[in-house]
Formats: sequence, structure tokens, C-alpha cells
Amino acid sequence: MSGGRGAVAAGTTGGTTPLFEHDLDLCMRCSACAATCPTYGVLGHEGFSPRGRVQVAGALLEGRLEPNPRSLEFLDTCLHCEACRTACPNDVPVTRLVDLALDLPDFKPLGPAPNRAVRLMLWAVAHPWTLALLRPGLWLWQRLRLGRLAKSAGHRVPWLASLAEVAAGLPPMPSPFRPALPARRAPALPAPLAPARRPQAGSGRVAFFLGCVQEAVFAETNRASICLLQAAGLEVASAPGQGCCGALHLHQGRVNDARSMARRNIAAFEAAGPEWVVNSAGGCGATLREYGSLLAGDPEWASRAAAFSSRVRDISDFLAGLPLSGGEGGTGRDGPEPHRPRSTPLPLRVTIQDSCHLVHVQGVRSPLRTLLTPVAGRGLVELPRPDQCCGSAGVYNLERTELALAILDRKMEDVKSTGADVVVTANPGCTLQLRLGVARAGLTGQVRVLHVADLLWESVRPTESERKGGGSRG
Amino acid sequence: MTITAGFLAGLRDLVGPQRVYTDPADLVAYSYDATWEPASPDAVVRVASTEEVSRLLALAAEAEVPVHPRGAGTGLSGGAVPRGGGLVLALNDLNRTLTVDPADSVAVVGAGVITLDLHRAAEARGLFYPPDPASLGACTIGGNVAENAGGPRCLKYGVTRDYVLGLEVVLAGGAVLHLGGRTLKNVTGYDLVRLFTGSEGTLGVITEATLRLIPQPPARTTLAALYDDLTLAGETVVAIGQAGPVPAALEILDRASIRYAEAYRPSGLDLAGEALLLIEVDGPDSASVHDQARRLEHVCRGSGARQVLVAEDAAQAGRLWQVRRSVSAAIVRLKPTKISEDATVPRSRVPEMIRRLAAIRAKHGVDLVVFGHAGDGNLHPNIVANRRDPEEMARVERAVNDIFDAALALGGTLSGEHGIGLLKRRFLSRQLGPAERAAMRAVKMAFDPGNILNPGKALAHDDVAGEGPGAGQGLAADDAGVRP
Ligand SMILES: Cc1cc2nc3c(=O)[nH]c(=O)nc-3n(C[C@H](O)[C@H](O)[C@H](O)COP(=O)(O)OP(=O)(O)OC[C@H]3O[C@@H](n4cnc5c(N)ncnc54)[C@H](O)[C@@H]3O)c2cc1C
Ligand code: SF4
Ligand code: SF4
Repeated sequence: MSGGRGAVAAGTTGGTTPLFEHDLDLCMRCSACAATCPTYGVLGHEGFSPRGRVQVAGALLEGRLEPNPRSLEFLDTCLHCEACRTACPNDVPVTRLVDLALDLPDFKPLGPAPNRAVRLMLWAVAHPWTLALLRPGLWLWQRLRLGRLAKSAGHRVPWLASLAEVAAGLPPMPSPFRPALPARRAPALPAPLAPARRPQAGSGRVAFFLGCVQEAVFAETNRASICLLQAAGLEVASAPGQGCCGALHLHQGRVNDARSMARRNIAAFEAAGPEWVVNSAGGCGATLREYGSLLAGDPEWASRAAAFSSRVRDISDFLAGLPLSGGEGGTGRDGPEPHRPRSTPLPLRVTIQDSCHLVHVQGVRSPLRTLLTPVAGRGLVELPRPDQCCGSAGVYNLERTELALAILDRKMEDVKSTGADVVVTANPGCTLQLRLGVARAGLTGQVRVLHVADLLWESVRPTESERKGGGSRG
Repeated sequence: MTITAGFLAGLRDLVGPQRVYTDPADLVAYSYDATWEPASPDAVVRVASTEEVSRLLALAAEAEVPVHPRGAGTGLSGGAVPRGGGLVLALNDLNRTLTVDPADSVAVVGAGVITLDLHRAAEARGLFYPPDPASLGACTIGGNVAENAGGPRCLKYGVTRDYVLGLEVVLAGGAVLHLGGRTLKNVTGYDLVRLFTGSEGTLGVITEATLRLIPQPPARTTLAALYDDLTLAGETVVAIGQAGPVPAALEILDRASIRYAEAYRPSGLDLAGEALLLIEVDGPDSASVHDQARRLEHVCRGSGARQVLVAEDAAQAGRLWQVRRSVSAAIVRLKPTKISEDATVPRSRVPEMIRRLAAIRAKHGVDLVVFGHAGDGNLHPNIVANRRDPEEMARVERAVNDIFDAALALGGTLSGEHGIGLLKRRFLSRQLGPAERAAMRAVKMAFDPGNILNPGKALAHDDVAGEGPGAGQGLAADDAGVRP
């Protein structure tokens, strides 16, 4: 797991030359990566392909090319989706070279001032109290229909408009004035972080990483994930003090901010002492798994970070890794050993959009198929390019709105071709982006976009009648 | 041959300003193919229709601006590298036509279509386009036709040339030719389709191809034969050629390539040995495939194979081919610069070529590994080196020189499928005499009298020096040493 910007930053302190020469020499210019690259797919220009970015970065780093706005454009439009890394037979760290070149001092005056929407977000997610205000704030935004206002102001304040477009995909926020009544709002969801009814000795404690945006706007997805873990017969420990994973900061080059977030999270989970740290946001998970390399240069934290990273698992990877409950003993959450909760088929045609940092960085591809095959009553259909980025890519959709939308629209054509009722994702950013795509493609009401945990829980959770009867389904 | 502002203005009028690029960053992005010596063009232009190609070539001919056609830039002989400057003509946007017609078993394909997309479109209709260069996920049909590309399956099914029925070609002055057609038989006029196939972008720009498709062979399986001696593996290739059946693919790996590939991505199979033959057979049903596999197993054992493994299922076959596919990536972990040669010998000389390659490796102390399409004599001797080490690169150059001499001495050819391009033109006169070269020059002059299309490429450089725009440029660099 060395692809992220954290690894770059760790490497640059000791001088960049040997690092980039080695990386550059690895590229044999075969172009096996081009077909996987979303920006090349949309723009068809070599400079926007992984090979082009490697060669342009190489020319910049070797001093054969002066940093200028066009080379900045080639490099800066990289989504960091890591699809090229998966495709590359030589494992060339394309994004590392891109980031190294972008770090050249001559680019600083050329770089656009960080987008305001982006700065706002980075600042917000780093502070627990702003996150606490986010849900009520979004509720107000939705109640007052500020989105429309923002869009109409968009020709003067473009960043506001792009924020509004994305916010349109948020689920309805609960009113802060009517304290949530879990029983009424979401009948099947038990209180979060409640221990399983019969925690098994030696079954392996898990703790759940909530994630900032995920917990603030997709809390239901986190609840569904926790319920699934409990239904699997596991005890889910809480880890107070955890916060944002730091991914956005890392990708914006704010490495020190990211490091301190890493330390805070590591300490929080050490206190909880779980065997596994499970999460439901592909992007966050990838970053958590890179803490080891992010803090490799820090004597006090290096080994703690590595130990933490080795415990991190994505929810779908984790669930698919559990054995199916065998025979009659496997009754949902009461099962004797941790086991995969059993799904009931739903009358749905399902397709999967692999979230980049789950598939290309964490290497998790088949678990989603394993879990969803029994759920998709009307079939699991693959997208033509399931592992190609939807254009969300962290804050990319706010920074490079036009290109991100072109990538998204291409993705929606693929979605249409599958005839699916549900597109499953594994990351909050992807969910928001694809919901925007559904609206743009005129598919509202026909196609739902759901996190894998949401759909799974829909197919696992006890129905109302079974709950009344006190039974549970496995 | 500097490009004038007036010429650029003409280009921008023609295709729109957003498809003409002169920024230094754009020029870097279009300065290379899959070889190692880049050269900067003066401008890059993207075209999206035959009409645009035609008007652009008329403009370029009039202004005497060199034009370097470029598909996907995966070429291994420098054909798309704009040595000498001029215009890179990016053809990848000619990808909107892709129709498969089962009634005639043909596909009509724009030059910019990616080869894999044609494979998929044909498969969707139960048809099969056999040419399968290893780069098929990236390279274009135009580039395949221009290089007459091959691949593992060509042993049984032939090379690109055997599937081209018709071509749409634009000549240097802008004339659009429609050659051949949709019929298997066609003897009306000279066979210019074949002339343009493999012409490396020096005679005209291919804009569309009509390609022959065949029925899918539904069943296939893979055999692996292990040897304690590389030459025995080579002799098996000869024996299979004589006894049959014809495999769909027959690839050889020497000890070094097996070892590196297994270290890089272990197959989980026990493949230790001096040589490995990977053999694929296909056919109408599993009985036929089973029978062919049994007969080939017999031939392999008869020629000295220590062990023959028949894949139990598709997954195991996949793991075996994974070994072959890993070799390229695995050997560059050893040293980063890979020099891929594709000198080819008649099948009966494969064992002798293998012996000579071993001698060349020892003589020059180079890291030479042999893996490739042994079945058609197209061994791929690959040398890995460090391009930042001049002494080593000099040894590599001498080794490459000897490889070409060995192949020619055995009645072979400089290139089986990668083309002459820039890299091999200085060796051309070893294979072709003055009369042959004069004939080729006359052909070039007949189609491109101004020498604007890929000037200096594919022909021996003593034939092109001093001719037309861009001719002979960069020869000094070419002579200075191997351009890996
Ligand atoms: C990893 C790897 C594996 C490979 N394996 C094989 C293999 O198994 N077999 C094989 O044969 N080759 C192989 N190649 C070489 C290469 O992929 C082929 O030569 C391919 O046909 C080139 O296609 P392209 O679109 O990339 O052409 P380019 O590299 O862009 O151009 C190649 C030549 O064709 C000309 N050209 C391109 N398009 C046109 C056009 N429309 N009209 C006229 N001229 C044109 C160019 O000027 C140039 O001279 C491999 C390359 C790589 C990198
Ligand atoms: S990055 Fe990898 S896949 Fe892309 S051109 Fe380089 S070696 Fe080939
Ligand atoms: S990380 Fe994604 S966007 Fe960037 S070069 Fe690789 S494939 Fe393209």
C-alpha cells in the first residue's frame, strides 16, 4: 500500500532524485494503462493518459520541460483513482510521479488557489464541532431549498453551484428539532454500537471506523454496517475519540494535518483494543491502511501505525471473509460462531460501481460480488467498466467540475446499458456523485444508488412481522 | 522544416483550434512510442474523419511539412516517433466506425478503433478476429495494419495481412483510395491492399479497414511441457511443425524467463526447468481439443520433454499463460531498460538460433532472455540493461548486431512483426540488396513524391538520406548506438 501521497511525502524528505528515476525507469511506455484511465477515455489526448502523465512528469523532473499551465493541467486532472496502477504490468506508481512533479516549486505560482469549496470542506471535516453542525446545517439547506438558490447564483459563484449539485444527492437529513426516534425513523436499526446479544468468547472483537463525511451524512450506512456485523455474531466495540481519516488532506498535499489525524485515530482504536477495524468508506479505508507508510518516519508511531493499518478491513471484504453459517445452527445474529449473515433475494437488478480506493488501492473486488449475488433477485449485471472512476475522486468534482461531469455522464450511459434498478457503491463520495448522475441522466425514481451495506442490510434485516414474533432470520 | 504560422492557421481552420497543439507539454506527450528515443514534433493535430485527413494531407504536401501518423503509440520500432520534427497526426479519434456483419463475416472498422474493441464486437456475434498482438488492449487497427501485426495465435490463423480485405487510404496529396472490398476473392487491379498493409505509414494514411472474421472455435485447452535443455524445446517446435496438429499458440520460455516470472508472480505450479513450452490448442468441441492435446503430448515426450502438464481447467490454463504474460514485467525488475528484438528464423532453424543466442549472451556478457512465439520462428530475444550505463549499452549494441547477423545467416528476417521503423533501418541493407531497395524506393516515390509521410522510416537510411523534408534527420544519433 504505497501508492498514496503519504508515501510520496515520506520519500521526499530524503531527496527526490533516486526515487523518481527508479519510478520513471519502470515505465516501459507500453500504454497498457490507457484504456483504464477515465480522463483519457473522455479526452482521448495522450497528455491526459497515465503514460502521458508519467512522461510529462519525467520531463518536468528531469528539467526537459518547464512547468507551465498546460503541464499543470495534464497532471492536475489526474483523479488519483489508481486504475492505471492495477492495469500496469510494471506497477509504475503513476500518481506518485504526478505528485512529485506537482511539488516542483515552479508550479506553486501557477497552481490555482485552492478552490473555496475545497478549502471549506477540508476545514470542516478536520473539526468535530463543525461536523456536529453539518447535519443540522444540511437539514436547513434542504428545508430552505438553498440548493436552488446556490445554483442560480452559480454563474457568479461557481464553487457554490458545484457544491449545490453534489449536495442534491444527499439523503434527507433529520430535523435537529425533533430528536431522532430511532424506533420510528428506522425501525430495524438497533441503537448504534450496542453489543451483540451474545458476544462469543474468542470470536474476535471488531471496532467500527465511522468516517467524517460518512458519519455526518450517511450515518444510516454506518448503522447498517454495524447491524450487519452484529447479525454476524460479533461484538462491535466503540472507539470514542476517532475522527476524520485525513484522506482529503493527504490528497491536497497537507501531509502534516493528515499525520496528526492519523495519530488521533490510532490512539482511539488502541484504547478500544479490537482485533479488526472495520469501515464502510472505501476511500477512508485505503487511507487507514496507509497510516503505516504515512508515519513510517516517526519513531514513536511507526510500529503502532503499521499494526493499526494491518487491522483495517472494509465491511464487504470482512463480511465476505466470514464463513456462511452452516445448517440450522445459523440463525442470524444468534449464530454460535461469527458467520456471514444470510440474505433474502430482493426483486432487484443490481450493478456494481467499484469504488476506486477499494478496488485499486485495497484490492477488494470479488467480495462485493460474493455478497450481492444472493441479494440480486433479478440478477447481478456488470457495468462495462465497473472499476473505472465515476469522477467523484475526493474533491475532484468540486475542482474540475466540467471534466468530472463528462466522466460521470459516460458512466451513466454504462449504467443505462445494464438496465439495473440499483447501483451499488462502497464509498460516500461515489454515492453522492452517482446520485447526481442519476438525476442528470433523467433516471430519478428508476435507479437507486446505495452503499453495499445499505442494500445488504435491506436483504438481511428481520422483517417487521418476524421482529414482532421475536424471531430473527439468518 | 519549421512549421510556419500560416500553416498552423490553416490547420486550425481545418479541424478547429482545440485540436491543434503546440504547447511544449503537448509536444512531450506526443514525442514517443513504446521505444526509448523520443523526438519532439513541431505540432500535434487530431483528426476525426477521412475528409479531415484528406484536406490536412493536401495542406501538408503543399507546405512540404513532414507528417507522422500515430495510432496508439505502442509501436516497437519507432514508427510513430516524429524524428526530424513536423506534424504528429493523431488518428485515435477515427474510432466511431465499428460494424460487424455476420452475413458477410466482415467487420468495417475505423483506423482508430482499439483492437480489443474489435475482438469484443466480433465475439458478441459469435465471430473471431484472430490477430492478437500482446498490446491489443491499447493498439489501434490502423497501427496493426500499418505494421502488419502478429501475435501468438498467428501460428495457426495467420497475421493481420491475412484478414485485411479492403482499405480506405489517403495519399500524401489528399487523394482518397478505396481498395479491395468485402469479398474473399478479388483480383481486380494490383493488390494495393497488401502493399499498404505493413507499409508503416510511409505510403498513405489508413482511415478505415474491412476485415475478415471467422467462426469462434468454441473449445480450447493448454499444455505445458518442461525440458532440461532449451535446445530440446526448440527441437520439439520443429517436430510439432512436422507432425501436427497445428497449435493455436506455441510459446517458448527459457530458464531465466521462467525464474523471473515465477519470482514476480508465482503460478503455484512446479515449473522449474531449463525451458518451458506453452501450447494452446483449439477446435470445434472438447473431443477434438482433447485428441489434439494427447497427440501433442506424445510429440513433446518423444522430443525429450521431462514432464507434460495438460491444464485441468480454464483456471489452470489461465495460470500457465499468466507465467508467459509476467515475463516482460518480471525482467525489467532486474534492470529497467528492455531491448526487445523480434528477429525471426524459419521454423527448422529455431534450435540453431537458440544455440547462437546462448553464445551471443556469453560473448557480450549481456542479460539476454528468450521467450516468444517459437512456433513461427519469431523468438523474442530480450536484453535487459541499464540505459544510464554507457559501457553496458555498448555491449548491448554489439549483441543486437550479432543477433541480426545470426538470424540472417539462418535464412531469417530482421523483423517478424514489429517493423523496421527508425530502429532497424540501418540494418536493412544487410537483408535487402540494392535492387530490392531501389524497387522499394520507387514505390515510395510513386505514392509520396514529396516524401512527407514518415520520412526516413522503414527504408534503409542510405536510401533516404538527402531526400525530401525530414529525410536523413537524426541519422547521426541513429548511428551512435542502439536506441533501446
Ligand atoms: C507490450 C507490447 C506488446 C506488443 N506485442 C506485439 C505483438 O505481439 N505482435 C505485434 O505484431 N506487435 C506487438 N507490439 C507492437 C505494436 O503494438 C504493434 O506494432 C501495433 O500494431 C502498433 O499499433 P499502434 O496503434 O500503437 O501504432 P503506432 O505505434 O501509433 O504506429 C505504428 C506505425 O504505424 C503507423 N500508423 C499508425 N496508424 C496508422 C494509420 N492509421 N495509417 C497509416 N500508418 C499508421 C505509424 O506511423 C507507425 O509507423 C507490442 C507492443 C507493446 C508495447
Ligand atoms: S505506466 Fe505501466 S502500463 Fe502505463 S505505459 Fe508505463 S509501464 Fe505501461
Ligand atoms: S490515477 Fe486514474 S486518472 Fe490518474 S492517470 Fe491513473 S487512471 Fe488516469
